[in-house]
Amino acid sequence: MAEIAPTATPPAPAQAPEGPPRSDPLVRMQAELKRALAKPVEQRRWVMVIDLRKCVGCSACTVGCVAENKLPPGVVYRPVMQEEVGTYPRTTRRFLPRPCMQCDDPPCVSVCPVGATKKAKSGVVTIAYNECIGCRACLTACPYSARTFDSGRSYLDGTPETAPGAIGARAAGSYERAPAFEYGQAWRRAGGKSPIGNARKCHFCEHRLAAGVLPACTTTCIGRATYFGDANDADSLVAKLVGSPNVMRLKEEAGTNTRVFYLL
Amino acid sequence: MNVRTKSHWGIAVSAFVIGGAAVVFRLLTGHRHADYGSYVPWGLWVGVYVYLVWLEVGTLVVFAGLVHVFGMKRLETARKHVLLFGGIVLLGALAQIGLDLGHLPRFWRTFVTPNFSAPMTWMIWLHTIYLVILGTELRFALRAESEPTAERRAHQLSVLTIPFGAVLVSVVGAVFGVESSRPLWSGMALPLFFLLSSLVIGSAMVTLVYALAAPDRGSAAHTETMRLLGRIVLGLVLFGAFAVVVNVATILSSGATASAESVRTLLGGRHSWSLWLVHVLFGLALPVWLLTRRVPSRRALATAAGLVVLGFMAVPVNLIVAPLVQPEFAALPAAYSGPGLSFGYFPTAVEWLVSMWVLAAVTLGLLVGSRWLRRRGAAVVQP
Repeated sequence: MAEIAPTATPPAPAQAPEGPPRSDPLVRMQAELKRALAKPVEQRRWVMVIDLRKCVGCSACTVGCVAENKLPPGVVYRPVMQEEVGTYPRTTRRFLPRPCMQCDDPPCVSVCPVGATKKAKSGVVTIAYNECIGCRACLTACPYSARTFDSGRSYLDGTPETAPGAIGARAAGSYERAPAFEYGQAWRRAGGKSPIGNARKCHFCEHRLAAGVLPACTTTCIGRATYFGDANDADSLVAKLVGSPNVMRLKEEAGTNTRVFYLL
Repeated sequence: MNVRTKSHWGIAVSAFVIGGAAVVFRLLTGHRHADYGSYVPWGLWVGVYVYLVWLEVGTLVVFAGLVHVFGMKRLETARKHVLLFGGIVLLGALAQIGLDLGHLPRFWRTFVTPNFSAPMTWMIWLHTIYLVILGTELRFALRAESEPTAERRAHQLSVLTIPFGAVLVSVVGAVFGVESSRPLWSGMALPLFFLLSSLVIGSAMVTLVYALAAPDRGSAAHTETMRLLGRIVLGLVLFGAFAVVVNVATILSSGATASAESVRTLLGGRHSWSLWLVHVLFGLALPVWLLTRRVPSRRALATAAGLVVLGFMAVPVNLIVAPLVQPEFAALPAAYSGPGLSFGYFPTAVEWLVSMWVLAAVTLGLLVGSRWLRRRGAAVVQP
């Protein structure tokens, strides 16, 4: 019986890495965050770096963000865009998470008629929910569609209340009744009050940063593709990454000077 | 009250009541039942607001310009009606944009904590100033027959409506023009286009008001003035159409740019039927045909003017929605789904009914106002 010759050489087993195991970048960024928080706020420069080579499009960051900020239907801070490249069977997909870019020259700030949208000292573009009149000019101004409108919808709209003990509107509503901790305040969505009727957007999880915790999208990224930190700290991971030759920003031509960088 | 007037009242009251239910529904449920949202943040209501601003400012500016700059003193007979019309339409525009706000009760913040780098702030402040000018002018105009000083002050305020109106409508254009992320709007052309549109629609409205309200209706002088107004409307309509064609052709020649894509959506997208049917056919072609007849009758002139006024209704909505339905990123529509996260837009029943209420309220205001003026001895407006 003729032997079937192997068509290809089997790959060599992966070599175990030599030396001490590399630490999780989250651990390093967490330590750097503590260091940054010890500085005055105006000396920090929060930036986010997203390594597109590592992003697998799992959308864990999107879901983590939605859960962290108790986002209602129609409001999203960090969608992950997917693009299929090539034609079958030679196709591949690439992914691009899109948080708010926290522009240094934000077009959304100058169009707000009441100054409810501001560039905070921390560099984060914030929205004073109780000042926002809901004109949505900032939504049309954003070149990244990074702002969404909270129209007051609920995940439970149309959900029937079932027998006691079963999961129905009342039981399932605990998520929607939970407050979102944004801009230093607990916001409950009820009675048409803010943030209902407002523009909403990613704020780099400022409430978590204040507590010394990295943003939800950073900690939930299973591929460690999202980095966050203080670019003014020369020893920080993000400072090193934003100096890489393969770094880019979205829509540079818009002149917005974003604080979100992508590694290609 | 004749049958026609009764039918006007009947239609306006019915639309007001039905639309009023939608307004109550909107106030109780917020924006949940509207089709605009996160990716298409502005829709029908903003379009109707812009239309009403064009109508109000254009009517007042053209009227004041014809009277004070071109010396058409005969038009003065319709002044009170024009002022009343401007004031009521302005209030209608403010009601429409107020209902579009996420937090209407906070509108006072634009006066207390204004951001003057935002054209919207200027728009609101100018609206307020304009309303004060109009109200004061109407007050003086009503006393003009008995007080010579009131006549002079009304005249001075009327002159003021020209620069303030031109700036107001241009600033409304600038609200869109500063949006650099929307190439179709962005730039200096849009504020000028708003001004031009306002003049076109305003000239038609002045013609219509003069046709309906002038006390010497039916006289040879009235018909002659109407024909002159008709020529002004025709000239402005043709110039406006020429400007738009040149602009559109230039953008389309630029190739596959975002502006060109928006123009293609404008001309052939989901809502383009309204542009072609309402604006181009009824608001342009038919009036031009009526106005270019050898000796147009007074009725033909008034009909043409009315068609121009109504036909322009389709323009702002299309102009506003076309660039908004273009995704900033091709992959964004599929990235996350939910209500309001769509790049398709078609007004919901609530949106249509609320706008109907605004227009019905304006019509009722004009009907009531014309009766009030009649009681004061002025001529009757039959809208």
